[in-house]
Amino acid sequence: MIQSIDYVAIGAPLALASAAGLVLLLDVFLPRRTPGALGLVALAGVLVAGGLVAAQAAGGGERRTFCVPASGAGPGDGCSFVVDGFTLVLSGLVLGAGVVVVLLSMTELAERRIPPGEWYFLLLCALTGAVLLPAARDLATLVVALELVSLPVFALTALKRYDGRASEAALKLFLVSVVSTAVMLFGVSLLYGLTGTLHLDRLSAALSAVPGASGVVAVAVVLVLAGFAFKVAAVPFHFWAGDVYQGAPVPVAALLSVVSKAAGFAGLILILTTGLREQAALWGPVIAVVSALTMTAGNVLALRQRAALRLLAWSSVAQSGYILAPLAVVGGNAFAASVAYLVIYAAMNLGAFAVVMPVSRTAARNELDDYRGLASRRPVAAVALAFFLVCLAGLPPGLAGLFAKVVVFRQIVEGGLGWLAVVMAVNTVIGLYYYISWTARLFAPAPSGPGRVPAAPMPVSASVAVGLAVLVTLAFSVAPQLVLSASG
Amino acid sequence: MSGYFGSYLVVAILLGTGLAIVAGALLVNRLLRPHRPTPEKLLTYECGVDPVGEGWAQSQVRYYVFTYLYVVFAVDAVFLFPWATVFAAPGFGVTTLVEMFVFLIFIALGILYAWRKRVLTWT
Amino acid sequence: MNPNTGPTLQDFGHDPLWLSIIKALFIFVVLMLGVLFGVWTERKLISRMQHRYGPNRAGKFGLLQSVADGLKMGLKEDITPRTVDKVVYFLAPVIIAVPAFLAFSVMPFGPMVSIFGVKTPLQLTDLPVAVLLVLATASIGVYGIVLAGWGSRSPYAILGGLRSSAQVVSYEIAMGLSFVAVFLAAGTLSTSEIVAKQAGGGTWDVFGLSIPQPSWYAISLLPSFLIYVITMLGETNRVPFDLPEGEGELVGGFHTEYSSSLKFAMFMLGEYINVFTVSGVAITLFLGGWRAPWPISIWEGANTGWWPMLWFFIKLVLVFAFFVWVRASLPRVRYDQLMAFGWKVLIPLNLAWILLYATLKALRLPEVDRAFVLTIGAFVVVGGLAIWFRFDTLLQRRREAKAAQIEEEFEQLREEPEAGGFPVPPLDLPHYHGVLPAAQASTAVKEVTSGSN
Repeated sequence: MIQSIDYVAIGAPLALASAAGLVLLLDVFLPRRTPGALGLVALAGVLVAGGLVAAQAAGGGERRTFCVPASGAGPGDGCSFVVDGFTLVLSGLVLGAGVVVVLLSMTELAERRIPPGEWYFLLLCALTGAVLLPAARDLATLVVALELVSLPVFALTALKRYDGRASEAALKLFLVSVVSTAVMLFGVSLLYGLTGTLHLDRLSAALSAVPGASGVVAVAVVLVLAGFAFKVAAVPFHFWAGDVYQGAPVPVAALLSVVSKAAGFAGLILILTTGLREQAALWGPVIAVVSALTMTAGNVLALRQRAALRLLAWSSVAQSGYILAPLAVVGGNAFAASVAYLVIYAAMNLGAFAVVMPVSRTAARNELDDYRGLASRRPVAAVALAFFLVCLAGLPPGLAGLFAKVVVFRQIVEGGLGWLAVVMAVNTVIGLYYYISWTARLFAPAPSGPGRVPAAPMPVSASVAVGLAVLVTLAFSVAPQLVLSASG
Repeated sequence: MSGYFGSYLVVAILLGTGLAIVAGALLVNRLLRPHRPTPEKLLTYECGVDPVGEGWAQSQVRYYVFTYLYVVFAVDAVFLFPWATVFAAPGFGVTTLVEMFVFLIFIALGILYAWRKRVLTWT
Repeated sequence: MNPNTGPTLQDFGHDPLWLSIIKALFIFVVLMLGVLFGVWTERKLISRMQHRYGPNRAGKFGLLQSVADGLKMGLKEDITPRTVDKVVYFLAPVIIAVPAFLAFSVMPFGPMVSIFGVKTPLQLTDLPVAVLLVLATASIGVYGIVLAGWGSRSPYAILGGLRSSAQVVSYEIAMGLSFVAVFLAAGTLSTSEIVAKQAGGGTWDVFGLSIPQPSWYAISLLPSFLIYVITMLGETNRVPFDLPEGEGELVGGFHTEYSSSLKFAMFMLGEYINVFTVSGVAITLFLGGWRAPWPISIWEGANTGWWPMLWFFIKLVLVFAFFVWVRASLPRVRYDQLMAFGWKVLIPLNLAWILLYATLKALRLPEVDRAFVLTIGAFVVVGGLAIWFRFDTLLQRRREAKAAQIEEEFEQLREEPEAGGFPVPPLDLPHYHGVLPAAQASTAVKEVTSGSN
């Protein structure tokens, strides 16, 4: 029979999907290629969706839709789509990041080498998936939403045609992603086969009721974790990060490092804390080990990078490790620390990408040495980048990053994972080295060799993006309780 | 020969019979026909001109795009069939109709896009 | 009208094994004989349409012509070219021929009859998704076509295979969509129940004679039927859509390398059975199935016992004759026209018609808010018209621009004396296989292989 649909609840993804369709139509029917207009439409779509999310947040309360009435199938009301605090925080994160990415895209597309209609369509599709994912409460919706985030990103990466690096990046991303999806689907099908239910709230109880199948459950859990590990670039599925971030257009790299990662974590948190709540003893240690390995590998690899985007890639792998850490704490409300860290990380990292973006247009290879003397050429951009890097390192005055790290530390220590806290502390120190050495380069004197082109003025859209990121990060630095209370 | 799978079993029997008949015909053919190959006979036929190069030609990528379109619409049809059968059943009504409108509009978006991007134009 | 006398889904699946085997054998015999005499009918009929005699040597009226041809094919040397991919080359005709039979397993030939004391429907089996089975088996044939083209390793064959498969999948979509209206009307995918649903509606009383209202879906769902008729020609690669075998362009298309051996006969067999299948589907879904047409149906016994099988086969012969008639009348379309027609006309029209029909049907449901549906319908119609209008003006403008451009070129050519006022190709075009004009011959140029395009 027909399910009643709460259109307010699904408003945000609906607005994004409609905007995607509209962009595609406009691209096809507008007589001339008008990247600016399409960008504005896409921006409007993201803002409308953001407005809907804000309205829901202001309205308070939970909204549930696509429910299958319980018929003795177990506890829980079996709703596939739930809008609660968690959903709203992550949707807000994704949409905020979406605004920045669209603004960066405007700069990227201004050169008219990338087809704008397809670009914005795919971008909006990926955002739709990312907004859908934190609201998904059954395995099928989860997988579909995750695919909706992943699939457009391959195409977005490859849209920079006639660029060998971009094609290579797209192919790598595609292959790794397809394999990990297959692995995850296998895990999901095992879970479904064991329990006969797809709904996360029924899954956990049903799993505990399965007698003598702990081996199979363990395999299923590991397979599902592997799929998400790829999405968040956790060890051992982190290899793609460097090449892909460097090959892809910068806005896509920003999308990958924030939106796609946030979606991955949202799915991971949902599955672990809702679907596999009772199996925490099984996945807790696995997550702890993966987290420690991820932060170490990311930081060690980042130490040796000379290209800015590769450094950001590996550092974001390391950050994934920090975000994973609180999840290893079994029970309680530990995942709130992850969400808080994720939100703050998103603001800082997007800011860094927003500054790197215009630099990448004057320096083709975008190496760290190209940033030498940025302070004298573009003082504002340099100061902003320095601020973001300091935040990412977790030093004052970048209080946002510091708060985030403190929250995670406290959660781990309280959870009794002292060794993980030690590993994280060591890693933070390693991180300091490369963040600070980059920051130092910004203020070093510029090499006075020939061939130094004078800096072009910052494009307006990129400036707006940087400004937004600075504002948000500053706000988080001054009033971290905004994030901490919302995600708690 | 009863039950749900019975009906499919009959189809399988028919398939088996068909396979047997075709295999039998090919076998009899193999026993009866002469076999005197010469190099000329064994060339591929290109209107009397000796074939040059590899037979597996690269061909237009357009066929590939049509394959994609086919997949889109085949999936579309798969959704339409069950919808069409339950549409008039009690309890469905307008919501079902509107949902199919929405779905088809999204599908139509695809064909409109392909159309305007001149995928459907051959020359 | 007598109420539903036909079998329903519950009547299937109770046959003893021997009965199923008898029915399966019957289908085979009918199809094999059908192919033998179908070929003869087609050749004879088209000859008469073209003022020729057609085959008249083997047997009375040339009736045994196909038998003779079949024997010849069975006894001929089978040439397997040296370069072919042996496995694929062998498998292709098998893949075409074997599943072709399957679609007939769900074709209803008649109502319940008694065979050796067992009450059974005149239909091998029926499934809740019978029409889907027909579509599925029809599309397996495409694999045969593609593999035949691929395995032959000859440029003509591969081009023919590609073109053919692109054509068949394109028309298959339009065909599948044309069924949707039937499912909407019938509410089921089972062939026997679709036939039952066409048993009859009301009657018109004219001069004391009660004429039943047409209950065939061919009449009540005319747009679907017309689209189906076009797509069934395209799906079976028949004139005017027989491009895969366009002799002028592609020699024999995908079966160029299958000399005239038994393997070639397999292709012919598959092709003819496909024609019968689509004809049978047309009859079942649109032309009332085995039910007798109106003047005959006045007779009480017309739809009982073994008689319906006769009506079915008469309809089959008529539809087949329609195929031949079309072949004799229409020229072959160009490939770009064919694809454009399928994608730009048939599919959009079909989608629009489905939505229109569904809306009309929704209006008749009891619990429906009519104003709401009509408003939505109006929006869709206006939107569709707007889009169409925009397209049309654009197209018109483009066409005019093109015409003007061509006119201009003609003007230019008229000025040039060596062209004699006619647009002729330049005399120094490169020759096939890379024979170059003397000027370029000195520079080493790689020979153009026949495979590349």
